[in-house]
Amino acid sequence: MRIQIEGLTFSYGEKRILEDLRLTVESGERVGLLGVSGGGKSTLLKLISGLYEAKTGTISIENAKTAAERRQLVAMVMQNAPLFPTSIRENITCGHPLWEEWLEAACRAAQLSDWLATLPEGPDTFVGERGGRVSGGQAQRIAIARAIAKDAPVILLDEPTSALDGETTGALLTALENLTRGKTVLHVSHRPETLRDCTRVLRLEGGRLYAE
Amino acid sequence: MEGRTWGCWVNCSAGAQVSRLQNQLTGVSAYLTGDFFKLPEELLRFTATLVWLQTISPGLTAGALLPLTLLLPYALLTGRVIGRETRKSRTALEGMNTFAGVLPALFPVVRLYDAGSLLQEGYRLALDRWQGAALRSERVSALLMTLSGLLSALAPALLFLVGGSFVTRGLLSAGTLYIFLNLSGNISGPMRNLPGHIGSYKRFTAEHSGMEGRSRWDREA
Ligand SMILES: Nc1ncnc2c1ncn2[C@@H]1O[C@H](COP(=O)(O)OP(=O)(O)OP(=O)(O)O)[C@@H](O)[C@H]1O
Ligand SMILES: [Mg+2]
Repeated sequence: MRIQIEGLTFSYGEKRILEDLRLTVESGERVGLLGVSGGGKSTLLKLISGLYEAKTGTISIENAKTAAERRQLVAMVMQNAPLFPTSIRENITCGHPLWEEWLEAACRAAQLSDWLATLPEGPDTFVGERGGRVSGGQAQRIAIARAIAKDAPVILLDEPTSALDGETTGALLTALENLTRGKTVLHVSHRPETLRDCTRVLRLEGGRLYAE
Repeated sequence: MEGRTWGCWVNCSAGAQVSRLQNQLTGVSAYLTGDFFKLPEELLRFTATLVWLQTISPGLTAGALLPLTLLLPYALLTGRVIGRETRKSRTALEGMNTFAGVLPALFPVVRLYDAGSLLQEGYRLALDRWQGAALRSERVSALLMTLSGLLSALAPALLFLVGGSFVTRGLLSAGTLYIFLNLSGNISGPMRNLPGHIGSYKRFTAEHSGMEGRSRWDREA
């Protein structure tokens, strides 16, 4: 699905973050996004996904123009996956009814199956308060399974691997590949090497986007 | 829950921290203003009466104190149970605060994945758990207090029986027994309150330990 942004200007209070920004991402395209810390990359993703409403400019995903409509079409994986203090299963389904086969497929694609098989209660294991009983990599893969289960056409990634050490990144990268296959992807990263599979890489600077 | 560490404090949202602290402050100050200062007064009355009765009739005084041998271990046990229940209910309350604490971080997930109902359900469960624990804690202490009340009612009854037999055997005048019975309230009263005092002390330490992190208060329970 095509993402189209025209004349997007956004501020937090007095602080101008995005300035007359325009961007088109074709359906099935993978676009990388670089930029200095505090440049507004996360803010842009939140606007696209419909978490924030843009007051100036338009953002559309195909025909979806309002924030509420866009939220239906987007799945996002953030830097530190926050988990609900409940079971792994509910963290993935988010309380929605989901076929058991679908849940299993999502866990398999998110590289969770091997780990789940070692847990006596499997997907019904409690993740702990603040996700205290799972590692950062496991939490991130649960968040990816959640995104896979939503099966949204647009995937937004906000530095999904940056908070993790090398050991777990292999499984995580495979999980991300499975999540983004065949989707329209916008991938924010600090490290250009993580954006190698992108069709194009842009840089956010001074509130605008530039080709890298 | 392993949350009674400084790590938890750092991770908790400010709102959850404040609400935690308020809960604990309320418990602690209730103890300090209510129970703590009543204790010396009762103790004074108890000992003064005891010394005086001792001079009149040592045998009868010993009889009046007899229930104490039962009551004291019972009170200690009661205190332990109440302390444990209080700690449980506080843990449940913390669970609820934790839930409120993770909300800001979860906001994007809740909106993008339409997880409002999951959140409500989770919060309701945490609330139920806390309510259950709090009710249980109240019920347990009420029950234990009733039992200790019955136990301490033994004191005047014993006094009456033993004293009565002393009088019929001519070891004691009826007038002295009358004085004894009248003053026995000063002895049985504190006895009746003993489990209560120990219980609220335990409750106080349970709340207090939450404010200090894991501390020496925890070890004695
Ligand atoms: N909710 C908010 N309220 C006020 N200011 C905010 C808010 N969120 C972000 N900001 C500010 O807006 C600017 C852009 O933030 P944003 O998180 O979008 O940057 P970023 O490019 O994602 O940075 P990073 O690479 O560090 O993740 C920052 O200066 C930040 O302090
Ligand atoms: Mg960011």
